Amino acid sequence: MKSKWFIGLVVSLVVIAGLLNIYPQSELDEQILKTKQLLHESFVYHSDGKLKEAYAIINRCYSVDSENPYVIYYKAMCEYRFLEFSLDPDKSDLFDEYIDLAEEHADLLLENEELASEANVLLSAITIMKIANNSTLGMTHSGLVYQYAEDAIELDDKNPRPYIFLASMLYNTPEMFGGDALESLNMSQTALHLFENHTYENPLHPDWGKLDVLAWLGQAYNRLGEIEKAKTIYEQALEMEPEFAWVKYALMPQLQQQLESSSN
Amino acid sequence: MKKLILFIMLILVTSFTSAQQMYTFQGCVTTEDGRALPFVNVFVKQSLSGAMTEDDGTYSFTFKGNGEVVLVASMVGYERKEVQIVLEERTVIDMDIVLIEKVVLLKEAVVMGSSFSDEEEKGVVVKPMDVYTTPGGAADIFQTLKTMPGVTQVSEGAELYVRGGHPNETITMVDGAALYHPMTLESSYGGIFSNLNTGSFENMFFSSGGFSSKYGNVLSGVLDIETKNEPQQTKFTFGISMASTDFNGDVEFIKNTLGLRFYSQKSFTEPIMWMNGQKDRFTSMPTSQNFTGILTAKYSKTGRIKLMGMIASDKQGVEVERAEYNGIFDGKSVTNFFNLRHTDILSENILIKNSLAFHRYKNNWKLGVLDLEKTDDTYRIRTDLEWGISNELRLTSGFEAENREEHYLGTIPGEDYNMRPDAEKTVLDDRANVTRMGGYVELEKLRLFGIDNLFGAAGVRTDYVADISSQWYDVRSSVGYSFNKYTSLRFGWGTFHQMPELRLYAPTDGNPDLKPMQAIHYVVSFDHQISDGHSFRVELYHKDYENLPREVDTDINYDNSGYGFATGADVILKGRLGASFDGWISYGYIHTKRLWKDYEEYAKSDYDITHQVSFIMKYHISAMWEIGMNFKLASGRPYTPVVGSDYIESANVYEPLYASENSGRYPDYKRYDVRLSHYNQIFDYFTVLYVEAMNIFDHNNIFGYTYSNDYSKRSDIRSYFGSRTIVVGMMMNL
Repeated sequence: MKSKWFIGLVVSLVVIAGLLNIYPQSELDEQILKTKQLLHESFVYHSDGKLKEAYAIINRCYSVDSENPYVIYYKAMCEYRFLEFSLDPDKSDLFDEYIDLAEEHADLLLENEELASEANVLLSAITIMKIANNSTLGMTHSGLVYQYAEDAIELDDKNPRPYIFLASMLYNTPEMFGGDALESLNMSQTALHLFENHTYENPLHPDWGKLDVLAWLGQAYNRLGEIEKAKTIYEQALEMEPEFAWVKYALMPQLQQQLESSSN
Repeated sequence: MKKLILFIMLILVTSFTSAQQMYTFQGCVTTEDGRALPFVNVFVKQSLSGAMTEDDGTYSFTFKGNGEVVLVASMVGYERKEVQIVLEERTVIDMDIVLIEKVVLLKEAVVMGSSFSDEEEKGVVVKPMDVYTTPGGAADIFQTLKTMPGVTQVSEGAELYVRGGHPNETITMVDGAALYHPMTLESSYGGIFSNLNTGSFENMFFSSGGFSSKYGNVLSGVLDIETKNEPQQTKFTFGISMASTDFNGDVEFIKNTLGLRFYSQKSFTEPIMWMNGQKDRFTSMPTSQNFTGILTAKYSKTGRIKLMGMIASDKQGVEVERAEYNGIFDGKSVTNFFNLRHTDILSENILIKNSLAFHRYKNNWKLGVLDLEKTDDTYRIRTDLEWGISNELRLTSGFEAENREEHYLGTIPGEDYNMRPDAEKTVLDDRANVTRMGGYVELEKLRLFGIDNLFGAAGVRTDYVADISSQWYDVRSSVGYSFNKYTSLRFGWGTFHQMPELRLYAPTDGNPDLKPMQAIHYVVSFDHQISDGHSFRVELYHKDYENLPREVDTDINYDNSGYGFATGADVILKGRLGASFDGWISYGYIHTKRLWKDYEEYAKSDYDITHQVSFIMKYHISAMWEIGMNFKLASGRPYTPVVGSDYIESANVYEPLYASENSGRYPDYKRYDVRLSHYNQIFDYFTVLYVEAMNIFDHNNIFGYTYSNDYSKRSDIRSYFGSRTIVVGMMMNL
């Protein structure tokens, strides 16, 4: 008798799964992980092609499951990275195309227990991009960058990413308005410490940012006159990712030039 | 038993898998003109199977499934394309796809032209930051708009004289509700500043003609403001200058759900008048106070309810020299404005906006025999619906009902040349009450008649006023052509009606049966966006006025026999020069004539400011220092000169005899304002310190003449900023 019930149950489950055309979660996760990897590569190589590829994949995931928080997160993350590309002079149109989307998708995650801290990080980063796009917003939006970052820390004190944007703000804000290279350096070091002492078990969870931190840390050292330390940090970054475009083609050559001119 | 289970499962699994076959999708994605499109996301809907197109637009991917599927091609900037495909025996599916470039539905301002807004897609951009930083503008929206072409420099007050129209012919709307008295310190010369705090604006849109049919009962211009939504953080700002102090705050009660924004200001002009040597003119220094609060509740992802309240008051006492009498003008006023605003998205493409508002303005003016109290109450309800039928077609419709009552109580002089306290007077206790209902519908279409880049709009509205048994219709339309993303040409035409000011409906000295005034607008507009942040516009316009109220020597006091016209051209160039300079230069030409009110003949109107140039330049010296300059040059305003006088023995007063209507012109208006701002950090608070010099060359701008007792000699009445005025102030972000 029991076995009949068991057979019935198995048959029902298989039929329901078939009818609902449920995708194995692993396949969706696989695609999310692929997006995550492409996002990383896009950042390292400063490749908008890889970013577009990542966005295409995550949009396919979104068409399958638009409520999956990780799908929403990486969609927002791609849209934020497009905003970064909008700083390239020939890609300024990207800002208008992605700013509302990025904000909308990051907002959706504010109530998600697992990703609320990351959503605040994204909103902090998006606000910085708004200021970068229109510097007059600096006066009114700077507070918001700090507010989102502080909320992110409050929600997850082991999350290193809020410190990246605190470091970036403190580095880029003129001293008279509260900018402080030393404080920026402290923020980067805090982030680095958190990166080295805490990992998230879920492979889908965001773990980007270590390279960003090294770039900001090097710049802070440089501004404080510690050029050798800056160089070591940049070398560390290139050791991790030899093709890290930001350091390899911008920050390091700049530093070399400084070193050369100081030796002359 | 185990064997049985395995057998059943094997059958089931086999049955599912055998029905699913592997297919290869391949093809090429191109634009309409055959250009290969890389980076297009091509995928089977609700599946993870897909690919991105290569540089040559080709794609290829495999998919396992059966039955009917939908192939999707999507890319930012292009219309998403979906193709239904029945999967059959053929396992390789060749599908070439053509994507059409997405055309973003233009907003009504783009279609209608003649507008300034803080949104780039609406044409020439005027951002709140422009309002804050325009030298001499006191961060006032009206003063900044007066530097735009089409708004003539008739006086130094904040009132907007738009393309030959009286200030009453321009409406100010806040969150869908009409604010009929947005000024502080109103007198017969108009108000000086607005009661609206620029910090509260989310969007603003100003049109100087040819505007949408959603705006009714208005002849010349529209300023439409949407206030900010709930704050995203709690913060406060404090500002103080020699003329005013203000304290503003954003308070977040529940994150992304409930918050309050408030703006409070108190102006005290004594220090500035003292410093600039004008204190003696005043018996009571002009002062004003204003509190505005906006409580916003976001009740769903798309829905918001916003309650706005504004309470403002002011008073002033100033010495007035007239031919027959030197006295003191005492003026005071109170403004209350409450608006309940609701917005939501009803379905995917339908936006609803509702507003329920009450507005009371009450003032009292005293000068000699004049002692008049005016109360103006308005109740108003309004609903607007915006339906984006497709990316190319939008329907806007709405309804409004408004009850407005003006009550005049007190005494006015029997003859306008005798204001002495013992002069002949007329006692007034008049009420004019009018209820108006209006509705409109408007269609905006891109790719008009299937022609790319051709767009247009057409709308009709009707208004009905039972009290005067009058119903009228307005038809408005426009058509435009975009040569490319940056350059466009538009033509607009429309009829506009507006009821004359309610005072003219008063039974005692008005006519309760006056019909609405009418204007027909013709506008041709050429816009060119030179590059990011640089815009150029030139507009030609003509307006015909009919049914204007005209004073007649019969029992009905006024009839609708007045008429007139305004013809002109407006040009503006706005943008940046290098990284440090930004600003704009504008030029306006106008020729306008009217026969209305007490005009004796068809003559140049009071607002015929033939030429007007504004030059606003801001130079960012460094991150901490900014200097701004505002230079205005305008033809003098027309006036009717006094050519002699008759002695009236019974009243012991001279009656002035006038030349032809508006046959004289005041001297040209010139004013240079300079503002130096220093951005700093004081006690960890972001702070702006500024010093502003208005009319730095002390040019003698006048807004009228005063005469000797028998009108044989005249002397100038200097304008508000007729003398050099210096203001020092600071603003601190707490």
